[in-house]
Amino acid sequence: MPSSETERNEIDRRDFLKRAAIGTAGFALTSSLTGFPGGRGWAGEDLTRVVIVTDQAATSGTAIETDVVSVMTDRGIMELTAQGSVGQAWRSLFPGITASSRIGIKVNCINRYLSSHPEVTRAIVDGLAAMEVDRAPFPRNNIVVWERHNYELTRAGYSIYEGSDPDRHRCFGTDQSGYGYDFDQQIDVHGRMNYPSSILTQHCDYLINLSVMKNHTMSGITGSLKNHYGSIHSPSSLHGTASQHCDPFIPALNRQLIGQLGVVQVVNICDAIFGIISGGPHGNPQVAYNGLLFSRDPVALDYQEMQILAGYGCGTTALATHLDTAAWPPYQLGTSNPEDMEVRYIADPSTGVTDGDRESSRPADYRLELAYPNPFNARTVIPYVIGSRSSVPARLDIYNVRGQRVRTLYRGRRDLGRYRAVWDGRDDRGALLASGIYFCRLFAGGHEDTVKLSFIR
Amino acid sequence: MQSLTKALAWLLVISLLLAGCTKDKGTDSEEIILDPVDLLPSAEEISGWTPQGVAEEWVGEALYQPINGEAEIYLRHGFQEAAFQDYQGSGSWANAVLSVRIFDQGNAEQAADLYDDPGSGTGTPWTGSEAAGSQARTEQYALSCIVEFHEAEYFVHVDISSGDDQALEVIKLFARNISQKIP
Repeated sequence: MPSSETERNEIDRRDFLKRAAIGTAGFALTSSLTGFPGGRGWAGEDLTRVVIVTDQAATSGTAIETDVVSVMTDRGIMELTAQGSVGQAWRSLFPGITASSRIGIKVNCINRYLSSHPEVTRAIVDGLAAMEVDRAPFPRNNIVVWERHNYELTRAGYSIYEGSDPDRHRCFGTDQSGYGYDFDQQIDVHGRMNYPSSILTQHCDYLINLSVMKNHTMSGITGSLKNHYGSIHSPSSLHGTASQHCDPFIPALNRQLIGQLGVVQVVNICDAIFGIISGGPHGNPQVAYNGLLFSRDPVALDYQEMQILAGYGCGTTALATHLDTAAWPPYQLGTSNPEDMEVRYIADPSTGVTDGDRESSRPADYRLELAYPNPFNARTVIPYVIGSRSSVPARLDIYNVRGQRVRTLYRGRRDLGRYRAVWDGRDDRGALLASGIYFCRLFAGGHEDTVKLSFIR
Repeated sequence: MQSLTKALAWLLVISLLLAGCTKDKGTDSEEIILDPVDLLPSAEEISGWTPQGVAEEWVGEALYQPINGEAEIYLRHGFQEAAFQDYQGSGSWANAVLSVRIFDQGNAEQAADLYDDPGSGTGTPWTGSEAAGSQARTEQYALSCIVEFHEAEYFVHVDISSGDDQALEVIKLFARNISQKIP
């Protein structure tokens, strides 16, 4: 382990945060972003851009609507890059690309029931194939979708293909015959030796990181940073002790892959069509967020994913200390400060209906949005928006028609962003309430908003 | 007489063999220790549900193989062995995925510690005479439900890919079935 890394880790993080709060950390943050090839939201921007695309038509029960996901992917990448066409948008992410360049898409298929969906991957591949490179469409066969094991890909619905059909992308695991781990490229991950996949080091010039929205018992959340545990031969060596929460192993691994191996990770995409908010990373999907997140900055992307999980009441987000660690020296992988993020929301692009604040890119106020379903039986989802640029006290309560508070859904501090709360018709003690009218009230930043809910048992 | 002696000798051999096959803790109580796989509901036990394929059994650090990223929490609390089994439903449950995971944590204290570990799960306490195990909880989401309980040295996790109340009842049925088999 480099001694400088040890010394820097001893810097008090609270001191950093304090300095950031009083505005003295601006220089450090700027240098952290420029130290990472994908750190900026986009060239010339002061803020790190994160695009969140949601479309309620993306799923029907547990089925995915391929066409809708395709529209979401196209819109997301165009919004991220501010380009007018899908091909131009993707092309703008790959400076220096040639017709012989190879693009890897690292998917996450560790959970057999909730992997990076093939529908999302297909939409990305279609987008890449729409790029014009050397006056021709980019060859699909130069694209490799990969994960650790072939069986993980197969059970997630991918077809293993290693052939040379120019119209077909390749897809296989590191365990595919002829690949394996690159034992010439030992990497020191905070004192633990590891070897990267040879797909990453020898068969990709560019990388797209496609993670899945899940909570994680050890690291709080999965995400694009954690996704690289599938890029090395011994991920289990990097979980650390119970109190470490994979921190600083996650940032250290990413810094090694990005810094030492020179991997050009051009964009991070989080498949948040479904999500796991408790008991992850394994198990069945628990919620349908119907979303995709896009950013060049993996830390900012993971931060926004964490906010979505927190909005669902995820109990492990506080364990995700690796995000702050990743933002600061010695790792400098991006920003975990929402003040430095420009979050752009796009809602329901498949119906042509866009979010009203898309142009301004930031929610403008504090409000509750329409709950769904409403009336409801088992549970209802209550979206709400916090429009403050800084963290504010917030609480979300359910009241009965007599004005008695029966349930607190959230009480704490909230940063700028869009959240979702879920109410199951129960009071604070877990007892099922009677059918009837209830009111959900949001108090945040000195503002108040109320929506009516109809609960039918 | 000779045949009677022979029969008694065979009986003794068989008894010894059977005794050798029965696991015990070597205590006077003759307590039978079941492998997690022995606790799994079999094909006929819960109407409408049949095991899908063969149960997976995992011992020690091999747990990293099926649940890499989640194995540490079990290993931290004394994990010994586990059995995983998916079940296929019929009728209205034909498209549902139901999974049972039974972990032997070595002793009751470690199983309880695992249950209380902040990373292992949260949920609504499931109490009352119908509840499974020493302590149990349920989690109900839009798309899936979970029941978890601990009893003796076992920690049990059951989930199903449906979030409605009927689905929760189904996995409670599985949980009770498993709980009743624990000596």
